[in-house]
Formats: sequence, structure tokens, C-alpha cells
Amino acid sequence: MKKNGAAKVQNVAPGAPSRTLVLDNGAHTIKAGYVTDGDDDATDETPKLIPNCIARDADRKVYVGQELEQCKDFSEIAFRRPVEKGFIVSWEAQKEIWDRQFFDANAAQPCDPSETRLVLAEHSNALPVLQSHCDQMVFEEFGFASYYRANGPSLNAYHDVQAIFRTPRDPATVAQLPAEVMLLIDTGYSNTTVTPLLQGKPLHSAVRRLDVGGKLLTNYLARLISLRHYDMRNEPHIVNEMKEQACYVSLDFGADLDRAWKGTRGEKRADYLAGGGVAKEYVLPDFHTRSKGIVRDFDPEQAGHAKKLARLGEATEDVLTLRNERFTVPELLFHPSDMGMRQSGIANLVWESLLAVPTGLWPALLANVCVVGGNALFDGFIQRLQKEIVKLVPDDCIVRVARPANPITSTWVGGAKLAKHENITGLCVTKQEYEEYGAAWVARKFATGSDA
Amino acid sequence: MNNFGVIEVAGAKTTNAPGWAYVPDTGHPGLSHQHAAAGGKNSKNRKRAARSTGGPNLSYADMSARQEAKVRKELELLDRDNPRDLSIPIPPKPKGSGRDTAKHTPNVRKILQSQKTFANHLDDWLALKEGGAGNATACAMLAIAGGRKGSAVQQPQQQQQHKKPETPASRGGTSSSKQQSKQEDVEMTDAPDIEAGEQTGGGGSTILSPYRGPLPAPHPRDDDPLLVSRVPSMPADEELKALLAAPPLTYLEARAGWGDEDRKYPVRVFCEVCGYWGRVKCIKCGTRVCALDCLDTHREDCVTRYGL
Repeated sequence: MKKNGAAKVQNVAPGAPSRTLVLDNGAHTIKAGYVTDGDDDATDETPKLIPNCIARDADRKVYVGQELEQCKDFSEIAFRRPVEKGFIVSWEAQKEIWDRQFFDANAAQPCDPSETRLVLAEHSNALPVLQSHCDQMVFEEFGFASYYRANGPSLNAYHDVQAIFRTPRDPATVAQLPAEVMLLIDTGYSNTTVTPLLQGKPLHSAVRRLDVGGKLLTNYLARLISLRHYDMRNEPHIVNEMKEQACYVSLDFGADLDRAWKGTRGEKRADYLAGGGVAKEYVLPDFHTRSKGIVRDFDPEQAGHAKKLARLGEATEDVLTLRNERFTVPELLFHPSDMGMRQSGIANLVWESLLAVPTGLWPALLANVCVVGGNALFDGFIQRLQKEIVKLVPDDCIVRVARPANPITSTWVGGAKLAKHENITGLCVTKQEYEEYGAAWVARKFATGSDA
Repeated sequence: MNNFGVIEVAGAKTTNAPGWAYVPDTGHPGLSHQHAAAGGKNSKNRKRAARSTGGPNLSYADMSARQEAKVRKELELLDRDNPRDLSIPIPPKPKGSGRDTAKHTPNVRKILQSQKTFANHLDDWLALKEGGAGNATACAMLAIAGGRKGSAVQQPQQQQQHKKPETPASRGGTSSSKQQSKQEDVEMTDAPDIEAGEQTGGGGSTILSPYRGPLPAPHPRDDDPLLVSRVPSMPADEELKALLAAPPLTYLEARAGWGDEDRKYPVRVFCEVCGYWGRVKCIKCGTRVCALDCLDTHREDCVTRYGL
């Protein structure tokens, strides 16, 4: 690492910015933080998570980005999100959020763009119009000194991938960056993508996308609860919390479904009455005494008691009993056809992607399947995915699926490592170059992904 | 089956009794739909043909056009950020933000004022692509999308001069004009010098370096033909280079399809009341439910909607 750093200093033209703003501008949260050249040891930085939205609560008070932390009452909150399907669409809103976070006089993460390099992660397969909008805003409006619009998934190759997989090896080995070959699955708020990476570069012809992401899962859960319990369609925030706390990916879908079934008329199934290990109670937040919902084990006796209280109108808390909602919601990632969407599930997506690369790469890709993004946090997700992929691929291939310690910030951390890597100088475009050669040249440079 | 000795004789005459009819279930609904469209064997009843647009692998009556429209609408609802249409205006700037209401460049002003959604952008782009097939200027506009004029003028000429063959890695035959224009861009003189960079960076000979780590201890049965694992040979450098140089797929091309692997198993159906397997169908509306309890719950809903 030290050597690389020293080599870089020589490479860098005089006056090149030493500070880099790494920005993973997700649809749900922005992951942002600064990386300074030279301090190679500080590899464990964590980015700041900023809600990427303009929110309006029931009292019509408006919160921009980070201000959402001050919000006390999330009931009937509505969001405006500048990012759609993973791409920045509404620059009007995005600029306001960035301004307050980075560029205002009293910003939380102040930044002087003219002396800063920007590494911005973008989703694969963007529309050229949106890419050029992004370039123009970065240079013409914010005026960053230099800029790299990186393919988000490929930034993850700058992790020490073998450490994530706990590959047995000599502890003295220095990880090779970027990782030679890996299969990256990014399952975020808007969608899920599969990207095979070779030397940190995406194999574009094999990138596949499934239009199921965290947002859709939240909305689906809201719909199920509205059908079965209370109308929660206007409570995206509460339902999202519920999803994050209570949902899990089932390893045996059929069996879990059986255990959560009420049975036919008059049947008293023991599993249903006792909860069967699936049922959980979710106490809804009321935003006076309780600002966050609580998950607790289903207790049949207390449930009966609570029902009585509710009938009398003396209940002190609103409780939902979640049963098959807990696992049928994340199940959509594996079977989108369950809600009528005509797309392959995530395992078949991996298969489709493999079919587009030469067979010789399969063993290497399958032994290094890495999952990032918020949905990777569902319990059982990794195990289930591994199980499903093993079913599809040839027996001779060893399948290893893993997720980094924090799958949400993983892309950002990879970006931060890239910012310190010597590759970055060859990838960036400076403001002078933009002014001299124009937006089309910049778009082309990023599209061809020239590398040092 | 014992029919109490009664033998059914197929008659040539068909009666069109109101309300119901025997319909031959010709198996693959997707196929039968195509036949219907082409005036095939199922085309007698136009209404039925219209209703049976269900995709592959659903049983005949599982997906009527009505249900499909319903599913589509629900998917659109699930894809929204907010359940209702609402517009949250940008709040005024906080005091002491130190931001001046500076002038924007024309490009930036256009971008900031644009109220387009992603769907709008996608439609625009599709329209440009369609129209751009025979229109080089539109293509160039698409490629640079508001870029500088200098290269915009050059690009159409470039496009007509070079007719490069497709990379084998790009999706078979579906390459768009956009992809072509991007590929040719690689050869443009003013673009960064990629080929030279890749040759030096990749070590000249191999992109992937051979394994040099510790090997497991040898075992007497290593050469046993029954235990030998087959490892496919690594792709050649040219193949890998072509793969790495392949242009990105377009937004719609990268979307997951509904492949053979998905068609292998029938689509799972669920009880719309409780979420268990949908084992029974409501006679009236075709909604799937699991058992009598849920059917009763559903009936209440069904009666209020469709009447008795």
C-alpha cells in the first residue's frame, strides 16, 4: 500500500486535488465521505448515511436530506426522491440535498468543489441523456476539479474480496486490488443487478437487472397488511421499518407456509395457534411513547388477552401479528412471478448472466459471488441464494456466496479504496479536459472505461 | 371411468347455448393464442381469444386479459414512492446558507427546470432510437445529448464511414444503432488511448494471471479417473478483451427476461386472503383462495363488487 501511495504522488500532476469526495448516490440513502491522499492506514472509514429525499410529514413540515433525523412523527410521511430506478432524474431536488449537505456555509460535510475530486457511483445501463445531465451538473454547476463517474457494482472489486469469503490463506498475503474476478449482486432500493467483474471492470454484455428492490418489497408488505390488518398504504416509513426488522428469507418456503397456515374451516392447527416459530408480533409506533416499532415473539395467551382489550377499547398499543408476510415478501426476489411479474428470480438472473460469459470463467465467478445492497441484510438471504444457485449450475462448480460486513456501505468503501488506488488518476476527467474536449468526449471516456 | 354404460358420441352439430360451452383445451395457451391471432383453430370465438392472452405455463383459465390488466396495474402501484400523487416543492433556502442565487449556464438551467420523470426519459430515448435508425443526425444527438457542437458535426460522418463488425459478446443480433455508434467511438482519434493502455496494463500476454499460491498436499488417488474434476479451459485473451470492450447494454436489454429456466415450473398461485397456496378458485371471479374459511371472507368482498 505504501509503495502505491508513493508511486501515485509522482504520477499526479502538480495541483491535482488531494481530497476526494466519494459519493454513492443511492435512491434511498446517499453514502458520502471524504478520502484524503496520503493517509493510507485509514482504510476503515465509514461514510455518512444521508436520506436521499425531501420528506413532508403530516403537519406539512418539510425535511431535506439529513434534516429527516429531526423528524419525530413519521406517520403519513411522504417522500420526494430525486433518484428513480437508481438514476438521478430530478436534479432540482438532488441539487437542494447536495447543497445543504456539502456546499452551504453551514453544511454538515463542507466541501470546496474546485479543490476536490468527485467519485460518483452510478447504476449500470443508464440512459445516455441522464449520464450527460450528470456530467454537466458536476462540472458546470458544482465545478468539481476532477470527476469519475464510476460503475457502482464494479467499485466493490476494490475490497479485499477473499477476506469476505474467509478464504484460508497465508495471513501475510497482500490483497490484490482490484479483485481479479468476482460476480457481484447489488440488491438495492430500486432494483437488483448481477454484474460479473473482471479485473474490476464490468463485463457489460452479461449485466442483468431484475426490477425488484427494497421499495417494491415495502410496498408489497404495505399492501398485504392493508388487506389483512390496518390500512398502512400511507405509512411507507413504518412499513419499511417493519420489513427491515421482521422479514426474513425462508430456506424452505413450502414448510414455512404450511406452518403459518390457519387451516380450513373449523380446523385448529397447533402450529397456527402456537405461532409455529413463524408468527411474530409487531408493536406499531405511536410517536408519543414509542418512536420505533418493536418485534416480539408471538404469545398466544397474551394475543387473546390483547384482543379482548382491543374490543373494549382499552388497548394501550397497536399490535399486528405477522405470519407468512414475514417471508413471502422477500420471496419476491427469488420468485417475482408470485406477484405476477414476468421476470426471472435472482438465481435465474445469475444463470442468465453466466450464459453470456465464456464457460471458462464460470468456476471463478461462482466461487466469488458477493452480495451487496440493503436487501442482503435479510436473514437467510445468503444461504438461500447459495442453495438456489447450486441447483442451477454444473455440479463441478464450487459456489460460494457471501456478503461484506456492511453490505449497504460496501460500494462506498470500495470507492474510497479506489480513490487511494493508483488507477484513479487514469480514470478521472478534469474540469480543464471537460472544457476543452466537451461533454461528448467525457461521456465516451467513461463509457469505454479506460484504465491505467 | 365407468359411465354406467352410456357411450358419448361426438356429434357434428354444435349448439351455442348461452352462458356456457365445451371448449377444447389445446394445451399450450401461448401457442393457442398465437393461433387465434393468426386465424387458427381457436379463433372462432374472438372474445375467448382476447381473454386467453395469458402467458406460458399458466393453465388455460388462470390468466384472462382482465386479470393481466389488474396485475399490471398493481405492479405499477408497487413501483411508486408514494401511494398518492403529490408534489413536494423544494423548500426555500435556509438563512445564512451562503448560497447566492447565482446564474446557471444554459445547460444547467435546462436540466434544473426539467420536470421529466424516468419514464419520460425512457420514452424519449426509445423514440430517438426508433427515429434515429435512418437518421444519422438524430443518432449523433442521442450520443452526445446536449454536448458540444464540434464533435456533433463530426460524428455522423464517422458513422457512415466505419462499418465495424459486432463484437461476438454483444447480445445476439439485437444491437442498436446506439451501440454501434458507441463502439465506433472507441476508434475515434480524440478518445483516450485505450488499446495501448490495456496492452501495457494487462501485462501484454494474459489478462488473468495464473495461480501462484500454495497447492494442497498430493494424495495417492489424485490421478484416479473417477475423482478427477473437469475444469473448462480459460477463454483466450482475445475473447476476454472483446468481452471487456463490449459496450453497455441499453436499459431495456439488461432487464431480466422470462427464460426457459422459469418456464420449467408452473407459476405459483396464492390465496389472496391469507397468502397460503391458492388451491381453490372463486366461481364468480376466479380469485384464488386456499380453503373454505378464506373463501367465505372473499365472498363478502366478491358480492359487494359483482353482486350475487
